[in-house]
Amino acid sequence: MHELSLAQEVLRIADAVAGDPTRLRGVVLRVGALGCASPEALRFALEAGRPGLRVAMELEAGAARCADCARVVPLGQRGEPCPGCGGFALTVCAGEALRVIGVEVLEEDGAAG
Amino acid sequence: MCATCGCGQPDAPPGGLRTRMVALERDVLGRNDAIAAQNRTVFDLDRTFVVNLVSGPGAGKTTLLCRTLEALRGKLPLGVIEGDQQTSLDAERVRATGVPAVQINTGRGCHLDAAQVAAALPALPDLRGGLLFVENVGNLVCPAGFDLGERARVVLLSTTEGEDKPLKYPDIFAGSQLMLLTKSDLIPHLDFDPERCMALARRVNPSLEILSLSARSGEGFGAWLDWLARAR
Repeated sequence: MHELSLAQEVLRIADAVAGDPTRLRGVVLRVGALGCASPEALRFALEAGRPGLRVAMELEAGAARCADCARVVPLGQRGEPCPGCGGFALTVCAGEALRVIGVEVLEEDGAAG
Repeated sequence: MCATCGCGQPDAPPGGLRTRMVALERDVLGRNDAIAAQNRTVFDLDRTFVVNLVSGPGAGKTTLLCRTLEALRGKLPLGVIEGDQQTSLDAERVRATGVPAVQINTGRGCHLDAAQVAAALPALPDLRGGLLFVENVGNLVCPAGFDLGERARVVLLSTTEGEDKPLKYPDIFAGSQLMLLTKSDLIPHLDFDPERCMALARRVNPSLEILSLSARSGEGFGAWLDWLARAR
C-alpha cells in the first residue's frame, strides 16, 4: 500500500505521544502478515522520514477459523488452503493489524540515571 | 547546543540519553476508520444505502453504473460520487442519465478515502431513503484498505481480465460482499473459465456472492437489480 503516507501517520501518532518531535526516539509497531502494509517498505519509509528513529516491529502471524475443522489454523497468505483439511472455508481472524504499540520518548532533563 | 535534540544543554555524555517506552494500541488507519464510522452513522440515520464500487481500471464500473441508474431513475433518490485521478468524464456520463454526480479528482492519489466522501456529501441532493453509489478509483490494490462508510462493497472483475485475479489481488475480493463478473457477453470470444474464476474468488472469500452479467447486452442485469433491492 502507501507506506510513505502510513509512515507519516505513524509519526503523527508518535509525535503526539512524545509531546513534541524532538523527544521522539523510537516506535514499536505490530504489523500483520495478512494486512495491507509491507513491513520492509514501512521501515524504509519511517527511517527515511525521520533519520535516527529506532523502529521495532512485532510481526503478527496470520490465522483463520476453518469452518470444516471447527478450529483456528495458521494462514500464511489469503488463498491458501487450511493446513489441517485442505479446504477453503476460512475466515481470517488474525494478521490484519497495523498498529503503533510503543513510543520511545526522551526523558525529561535532570531525571536520575 | 545539543546536537541530538536542539536544546540549550551541552551534548549528553557518552552513556546515552534516558528514554522511557510508552505502551499504547493505536491503529495507523484509525483516522480514516473514525471518519468512515461517522459517515456510516449519517447514512444509517438517513436510510441511504451506500455502495462502494471497486475494480481494476476498465472493468466496466461506469457503464454498469449508468445502466443501473437508468433502470432505477424516478423510483428513489439517487446520487453518485465519482473518483478518478483526473477528468470529470465519468461524472459527466452519470449526469447524462439525469442523476446528480460529484467528481473527486485525487491527482496522484490512487484511492478514495472516508474524508473525501464526507466532503462530497453536501454537494449531493437529499438522498434519504435512496441509493448513493461511490465509484472508486480504478485500482485492485489500494481501495481495499480504506473504509468509506459504505454499506456494501461490490468488486467488479471483467471476463477480459483473467480468471486468476482474485488470487493475485486477494484483499479487495476478501473485503467485498458481492462480485460482479462483467462483460459476460464476451465469453464466447475468450479463453476464460467463469467457474474457475468464481472458485478462486471463493477461496479468498467463502461468503462472497457472485453474479455474472453484461451491462452491454443486459444479460444477468436483473439479478443485480434484485440484489440491490434485497440488500436495501
